[in-house]
Amino acid sequence: MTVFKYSMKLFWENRLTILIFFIIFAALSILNTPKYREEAFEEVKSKIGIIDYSRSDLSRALVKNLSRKNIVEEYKEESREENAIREALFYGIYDEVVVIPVDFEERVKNGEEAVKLFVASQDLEGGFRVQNSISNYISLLKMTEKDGAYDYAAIEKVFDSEESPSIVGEKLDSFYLDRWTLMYFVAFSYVILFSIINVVGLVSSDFTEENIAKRNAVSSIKSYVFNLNFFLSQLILIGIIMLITFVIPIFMHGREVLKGHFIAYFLNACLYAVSTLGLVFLVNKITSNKIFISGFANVYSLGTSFLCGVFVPREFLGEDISQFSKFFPTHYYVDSVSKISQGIFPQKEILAILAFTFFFIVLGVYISRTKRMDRV
Amino acid sequence: MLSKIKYLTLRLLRDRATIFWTFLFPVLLATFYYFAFNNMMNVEFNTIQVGVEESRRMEELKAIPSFNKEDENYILKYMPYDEIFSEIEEMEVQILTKEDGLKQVEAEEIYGYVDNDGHLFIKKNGVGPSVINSILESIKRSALLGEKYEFNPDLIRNYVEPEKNAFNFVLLHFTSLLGMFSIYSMFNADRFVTTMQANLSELGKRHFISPMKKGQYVFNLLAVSIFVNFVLSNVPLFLLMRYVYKLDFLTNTPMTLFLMFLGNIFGACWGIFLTSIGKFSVNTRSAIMITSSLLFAFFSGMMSFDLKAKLPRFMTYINPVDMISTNIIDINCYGEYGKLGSIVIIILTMSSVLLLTSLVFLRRKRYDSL
Repeated sequence: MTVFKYSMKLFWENRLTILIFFIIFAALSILNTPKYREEAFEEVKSKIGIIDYSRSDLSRALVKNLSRKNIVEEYKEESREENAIREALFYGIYDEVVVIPVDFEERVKNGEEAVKLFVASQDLEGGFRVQNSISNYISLLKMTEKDGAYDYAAIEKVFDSEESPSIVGEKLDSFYLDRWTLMYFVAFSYVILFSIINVVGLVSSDFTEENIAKRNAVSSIKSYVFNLNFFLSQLILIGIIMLITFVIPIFMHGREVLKGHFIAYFLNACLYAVSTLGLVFLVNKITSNKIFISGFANVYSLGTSFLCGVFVPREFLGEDISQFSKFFPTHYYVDSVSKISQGIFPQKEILAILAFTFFFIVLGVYISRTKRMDRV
Repeated sequence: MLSKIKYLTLRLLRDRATIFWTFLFPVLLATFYYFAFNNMMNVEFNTIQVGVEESRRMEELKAIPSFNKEDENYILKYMPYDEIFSEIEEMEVQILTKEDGLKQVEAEEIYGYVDNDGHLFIKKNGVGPSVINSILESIKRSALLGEKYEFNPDLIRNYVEPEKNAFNFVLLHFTSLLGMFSIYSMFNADRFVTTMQANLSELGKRHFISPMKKGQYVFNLLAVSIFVNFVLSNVPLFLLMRYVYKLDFLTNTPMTLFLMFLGNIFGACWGIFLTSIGKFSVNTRSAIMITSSLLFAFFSGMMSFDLKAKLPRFMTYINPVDMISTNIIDINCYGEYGKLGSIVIIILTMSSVLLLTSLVFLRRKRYDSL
């Protein structure tokens, strides 16, 4: 148990580092997962900035109508120049900015384009919805026009008679909770990968350092006992990391979160964590250089998370990148999470992750034996 | 003084960790970013997939009991939703039976399904279903009001002149990356300060007993930390983004590099501060520095634009990476220099406070034993 005791001691000595990495990365991942609490249909509201140069009853009625289904406020930025408006849209201060010109009433009367709508590039579809709402409102107004006056009350009445869409399938709240859980486990693959490679890798490298490795090579402890002890201590660390991964969603959403596919997602993440441990084992057999391990932890975890669809949905990545990502277990982990969410058992993906784990360990053992022989 | 700077620089360049963190890591991360976000640089309108039930024929309508105008909303039952939706360019319409339509909604193959009673079925909330609902309600409103007033189809037209913003928020991922790597001078500063402290390194012991002034030495290491990170990391990274990955929005080279240089000043002071305040181990300090730089970058939009958009605006002015990143956008994309002056003052003030605090911690240290 000496190896086990000392590896646990090393983990304990690095507890602050482990906590900093894990808590910060976990917090970032949680902040990055979308909110889920939506229990009924709700139109996505756009945040609209209004610049009303007309200040007429007509423009006020239009603004009031827009505020029915949007967050509408007067445009507050210092400059009202077009470049300043575009800048405000870029930073998401507004999704759309509506500029109502001085001759708004005249333009409506003549059936011309009556307002200018600036749309943020991140909300093109929302911009189309706002454009449609404005055009529809003006069309309705013109329908009720009589002797130059509009029947605002009649229009308000038709707006009040709207019905909500029906939800197909399960209830929205459980649907969103399951969607949140899916996003959480996809995002956490990065945390798991980074924490395990970095922490386990760095602690393990102390054992593979040249002098200590030589001592181990001539010690009476059998190789498999040594590795077993070492593996056990790593499993305990992974167990703690996975326990925190398990507890966070319950802490955030209560036991309700356990009702969906949570347990399946969690077991799948555990498998992925063990596979990562296999990778760490291989890396440690190749090098004990802490700089290399730390660099590898950053580059590999970030690289595979980007290329395999953890940070960016795979449909945005292009075919070549998608094909290339198949050389990493993260690709299959993301696929397996997606299949679990659809209620499909990810047999192929689990086999792929297991195959990777087996490959990492076999290659690691081979390199270890070769090096041990060299040292002897 | 120059010889000291020269030897400090050589010392840094002989360190493999420095080469990795200052040169290789930025290049690798920028490459990952390029592959991940390249296809998102030009966001186009995503057509909205909707299923619509085929409109009823007159014979079918007559068979409906409510088709006798007793039902106030009878008109909604014979609106040609399929034809109207098909005429909208932004919609990708499939004419489906109700059974098939609902199956496709359930499988999330289409955003919504409109039956010929004018009822919408969706799976979840989102922009797609919201657009469909908005259009459907517009059709219904026009129909209901058209019954009361004389319906004139010519009035149903576009009254809006839309303008799409030319620059995409994806650029923010790249500018915050530039901002983050500009503060990586902290790693160099950390390595140097470690060599100054007698309890942390052999070289520190020699420094401790040497007559060299600490203020002078700190100034030298500050200059070298900034110089090495700026020249070896930031300038190549900028050139890579601008000329290899062809991020054409980076048009103002001198100002972009100036902003990154400011980041370097802050980074070096931050590194000195973190190293001087406590007795953290190398691993812990490294963890604090990596996570602090990632936190700064995260809140400036490096990983998620949504979060940055939701943050209160004062957060920009306490986050150096955000200040650098947003100013690179302002200057390159919008030619906007308004905030530059205040940002220079804020970053230099923050750096000065950090540096002075560090000097307080570093000066007149005594050790019980070495």
